[in-house]
Amino acid sequence: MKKVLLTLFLAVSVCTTWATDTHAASLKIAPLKYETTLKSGETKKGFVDVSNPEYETVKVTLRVQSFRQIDDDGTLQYYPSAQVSDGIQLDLTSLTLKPRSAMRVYFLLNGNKLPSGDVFAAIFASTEPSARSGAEQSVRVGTLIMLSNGTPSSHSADISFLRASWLQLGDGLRATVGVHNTADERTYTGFFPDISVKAQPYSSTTVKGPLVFAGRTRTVDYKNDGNYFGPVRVIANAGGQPRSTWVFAITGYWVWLFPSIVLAIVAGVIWFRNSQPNISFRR
Amino acid sequence: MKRRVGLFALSVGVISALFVQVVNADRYTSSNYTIDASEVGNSFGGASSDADYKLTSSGGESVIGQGSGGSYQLDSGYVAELQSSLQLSVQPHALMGYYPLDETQGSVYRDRATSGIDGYPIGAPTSVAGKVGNALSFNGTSQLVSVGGSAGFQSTKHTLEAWIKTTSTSSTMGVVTKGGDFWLGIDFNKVAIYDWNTGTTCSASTVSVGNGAWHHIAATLDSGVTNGSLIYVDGVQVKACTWTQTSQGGSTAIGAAAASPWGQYYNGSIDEVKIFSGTLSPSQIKAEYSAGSAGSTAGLSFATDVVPGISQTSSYDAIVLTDAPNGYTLALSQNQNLTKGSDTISPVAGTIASPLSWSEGTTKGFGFTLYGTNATAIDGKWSSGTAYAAFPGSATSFYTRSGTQSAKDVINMRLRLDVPSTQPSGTYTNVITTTGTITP
Repeated sequence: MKKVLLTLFLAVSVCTTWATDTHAASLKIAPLKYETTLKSGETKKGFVDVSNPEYETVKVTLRVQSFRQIDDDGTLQYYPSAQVSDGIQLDLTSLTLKPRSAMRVYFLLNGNKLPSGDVFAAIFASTEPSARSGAEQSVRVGTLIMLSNGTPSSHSADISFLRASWLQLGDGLRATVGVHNTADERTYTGFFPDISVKAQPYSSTTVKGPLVFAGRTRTVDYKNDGNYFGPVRVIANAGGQPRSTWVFAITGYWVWLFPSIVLAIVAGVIWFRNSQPNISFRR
Repeated sequence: MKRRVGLFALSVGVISALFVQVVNADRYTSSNYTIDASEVGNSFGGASSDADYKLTSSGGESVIGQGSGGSYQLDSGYVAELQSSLQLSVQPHALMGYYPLDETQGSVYRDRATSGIDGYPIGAPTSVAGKVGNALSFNGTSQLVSVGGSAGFQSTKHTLEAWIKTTSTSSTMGVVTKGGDFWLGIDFNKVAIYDWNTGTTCSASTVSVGNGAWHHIAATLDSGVTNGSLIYVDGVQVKACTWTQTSQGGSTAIGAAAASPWGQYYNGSIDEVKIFSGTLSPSQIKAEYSAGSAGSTAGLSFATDVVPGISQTSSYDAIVLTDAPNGYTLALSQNQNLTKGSDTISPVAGTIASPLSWSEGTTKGFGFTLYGTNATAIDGKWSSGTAYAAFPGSATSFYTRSGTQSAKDVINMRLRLDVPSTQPSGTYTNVITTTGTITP
């Protein structure tokens, strides 16, 4: 009985609260990214526009974080980095935005303070939660900064896989290409590899790959619409060892032309056979 | 003045030129002036004072220098003009309209939900002290707030809420109504809803609200379900009714019955009107009442008491608007585990990479799941919203949308909490941050 009472007491005394603001918490940011190169020791200045889409005044905090990919799905993780924060100096770190107002905040990229090579960072603007109890909500929007500082990092990539259906029907050729950044995962370097895909003997295209961090593999969908018929050798190359596969393509207008030709041939054969006089053998 | 404007213009151009590969000739306009980054330039960062950049237009807008680097504020008018941008909002799930009615001047009562269906007064209702901030007082004969035409608030389920104050009356008065659809109001001092299908009023006959005090009234409406629509007064369910909508295309009003002509004018004060596209649970209604009673706009909460072994859930929507051509990524983080002094509530065992199914009574802790989106199918690892992950300490992406979307994306999030019986009581706090960036 005592145990039951104790349990009952605990059951009703354990309290916690959760609250979100009823109104929307919103922020808007532009531009969405900066891609640039800093020569050794160079500084560059840029800006982000942070705006408040709502009709209530909001307090906004600005900060810089680094980011990295943590898996082959491209999952990003943002984390504080003192060196990167030091090298991307914000003009303001906090501000108040009146309803429907915007702030252009300048920042300075300092090549002397940033790590050399690839730098991946984000300038974040976040709302200050106004609820005062429970799990408070904050929204944060970011401008990505992807730059090469001083001596560029060496980049290399391999095609880790090339997948394509052996029979290609439809609007064109389709394949899935895996591109692997061969650098050591611990270097946190990354780049956007160019992937050359040839459809021999027909065509060759270059696909701009997604951001691939060191040690990661990202997947790229290859689409090449066109009128292809017959065996096609698909070859993918990202600078290292290429990979290839054979497919049989019936795409574009061949999807209807090929069956039409086959039907015409069959019809022709039947007509030809039927049009021949019966041959009888007389003894 | 022209020289100053020229210097300002020159500075923006130079800075833009430094980043020509990304900052494309953005053109920012308001109704009163334009800043075109392709035509102007400067070298911000000197010892210039605010006055060097200050532009004051005939409409009173101003550009105000702040910060040593020349950052400046652009007053109203720019928000909608930003291109290559991303807007992220979070709000309680299914909130379609929220009218705090706090405005003391002007002719617009803003919708604080992301629907942006603002209200416009008819007959000049007056601003008075409200339950939370300000409220509107209606005269009962000619005043109302019209909140949108036929396109707004279309759903077969609703939750309607408001704080009201009125004195005894022998009339029928609309509080928040939509023609052919919902009607929450007062019928001879009783809180009532109106069934447009049968033409009958269903009222909470035992509870009178016409005593001159503030009362929280709410209704959860589920069209066509017998006794599936519930009336609440001050956080307590007082009546079950059958309600069936006949149209979703009527006009919506606060303080009158939405019809042509308007009628059933409300006499008294109305505050904190909310319209949802779904039905809130009794605990959520109770929490709304509790928040308002405490003078807070905070709502949508876990029940105040979390009983060990019985998990509590709460939902919110992350809403994204962007013109990014290659999609966007959302990430989540928390600054700490839910904490009260030295006590914490542990996170659930699942992670964003590997969410785990919630086992009621067994799973303990605090976690989240992704259970729906109007943009793309959610990843199978979330098991349609039954698998939960802990909030990471570092912002970690959990949802990616590829390509360019043409409309508002709404991603539905659900939070879930259960605690062991040994958990000390009290209020636990943390900050959950939802982050939006483009997908690199």
